[in-house]
Amino acid sequence: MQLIIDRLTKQYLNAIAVDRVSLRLHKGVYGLLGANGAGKTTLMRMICGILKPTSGTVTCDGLTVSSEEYRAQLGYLPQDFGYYPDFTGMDFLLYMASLKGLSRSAARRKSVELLNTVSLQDQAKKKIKTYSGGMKQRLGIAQALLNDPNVLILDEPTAGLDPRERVRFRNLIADIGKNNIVLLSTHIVSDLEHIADTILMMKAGQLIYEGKWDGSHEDLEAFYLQQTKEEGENE
Amino acid sequence: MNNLAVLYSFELKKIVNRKIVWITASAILLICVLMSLSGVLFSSYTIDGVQVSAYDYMVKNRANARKLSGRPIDNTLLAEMQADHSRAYNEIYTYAWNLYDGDDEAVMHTDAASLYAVRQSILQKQWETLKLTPREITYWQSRESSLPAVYTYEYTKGYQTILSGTATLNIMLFLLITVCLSGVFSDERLRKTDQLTLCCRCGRTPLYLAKILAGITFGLGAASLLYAAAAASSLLLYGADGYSAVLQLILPNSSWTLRAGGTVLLFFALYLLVSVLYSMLAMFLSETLKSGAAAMDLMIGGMLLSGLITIGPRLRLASQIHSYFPDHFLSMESITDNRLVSLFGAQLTNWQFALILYPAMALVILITGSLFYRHYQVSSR
Repeated sequence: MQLIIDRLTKQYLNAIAVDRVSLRLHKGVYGLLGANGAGKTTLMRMICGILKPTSGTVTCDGLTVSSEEYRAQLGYLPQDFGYYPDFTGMDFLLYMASLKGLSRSAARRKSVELLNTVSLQDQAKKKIKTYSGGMKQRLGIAQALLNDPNVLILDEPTAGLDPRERVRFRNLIADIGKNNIVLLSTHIVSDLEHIADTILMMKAGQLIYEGKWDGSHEDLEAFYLQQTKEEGENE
Repeated sequence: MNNLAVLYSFELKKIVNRKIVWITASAILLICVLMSLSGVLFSSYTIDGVQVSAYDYMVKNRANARKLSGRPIDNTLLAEMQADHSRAYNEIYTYAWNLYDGDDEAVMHTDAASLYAVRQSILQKQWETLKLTPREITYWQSRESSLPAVYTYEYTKGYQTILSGTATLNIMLFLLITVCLSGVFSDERLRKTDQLTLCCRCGRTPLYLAKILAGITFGLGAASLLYAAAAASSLLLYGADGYSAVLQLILPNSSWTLRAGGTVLLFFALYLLVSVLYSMLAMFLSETLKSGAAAMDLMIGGMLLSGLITIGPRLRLASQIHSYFPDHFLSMESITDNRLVSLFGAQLTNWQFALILYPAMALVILITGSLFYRHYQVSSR
């Protein structure tokens, strides 16, 4: 399995959000680091096919990003996603499962399973508007996993999670990353230290670093700051 | 097909789960029921110095009218009406009075031949005003010849009330659909759920269709409910007499060969089609403008503008096009609009053409909307 991002560019009227980013992603967890406005979310949206690039392509095993087959193997958790306040947690997952093409029985089975995974089984029948921020985030993680995605894109997935949930989440992602491609962006560098096989760093729309992360570096945060400093940024 | 049925049920749930839908629907439903009843329940008449409630007056009038039902409007009946002073022939008097444009003297001295001749002269003037072509006049003359020479009187107040309330009913339907469906697409953007749905396997065409079908279902349901409420309250109050009466008893200057009950059913069918059109338009604007408020403003602004514009029949084409705007078409006026439309060699009456036009317009909106939806991108907020 291979996700190929080839010279991907997104240019707005007076700014380049993503500038000729090229990547080849295989099975594993990829951690995407970058300051606000670096282009992480724009890149992820283009990988998910919800934002059309100005130029460049995204393909997964030959499938183009705009195809239904591509979307069938994609899981996406946006940075700031919405929900339907009058839906229960279970309704929301069943709805998302039907959008992902799961049959009724598979949708119910998978929803129950994922509600257990994210510890929301007791809140499954409560309306989402009664959920806390962390519960909504866990529900968002659950929806991204409904179709057992081969490509999982997670934009700031740990935002709103408490430390215990964060640890559970890291373990879950590490497990998924064994057989699938996981691209994860975060501001919390420590989240990546434990699970990312490869670190990607973006700045001003460009990919400034791509390298394996095996823990031999003593501090990822210091490494990240060093990388961005080398590019001339004063912290 | 791609979980369309499941998606459809969820989309319908999203629409009807909103509080605003229930509040607006309840208020409008109440208005529709009161619209039929208000004329009878909240007013009174003074007859020969005695105050009579409108309801009592209607009950007495209805009883008198029922005694006359089935009788031809001929010289005998007109003579009885002219000799009577007990208001037992009130309905016949009113019918003749309307034809003679309120000339009481003429009504009290008319005979059947003069009465039907007056109707013919009204039709001739109407055809001239509408600038009908000789071909159209020939068409309507042949229609006229298929109408009975002498009409048989039936009490048709129930159907008349339904038909006369259609214009108001249309505005109520328009408001309900506009309020409830203007957010179908734009709310996804507002809630930021679009980025979740669009990247799903069925997030493009199947979801678009599911949303459209749910919106149309809501529109059809709303139209059925409002029309049924208005019709039921009218028929319960006045009775369902006169289903098979000629339409000319309700609108003498119409040349339609339909019956009173049939015309009410036809208007119901048109009302359903218009509800589909309104639903499609509200959802189309919701998708293209990405704002429920903007879609609502544009819909209501368009309706107000159309209502304010009057195009005289001298500008035949413009006037005829304007007559198909639903706010004009769903009214008693359209029953007397004899301008035909030639389509593939066939001459179609306005309602026959509307049965083709409205679904065709809905289809065009459906296709155009799908193009917008398929190319929609989640850009910065």
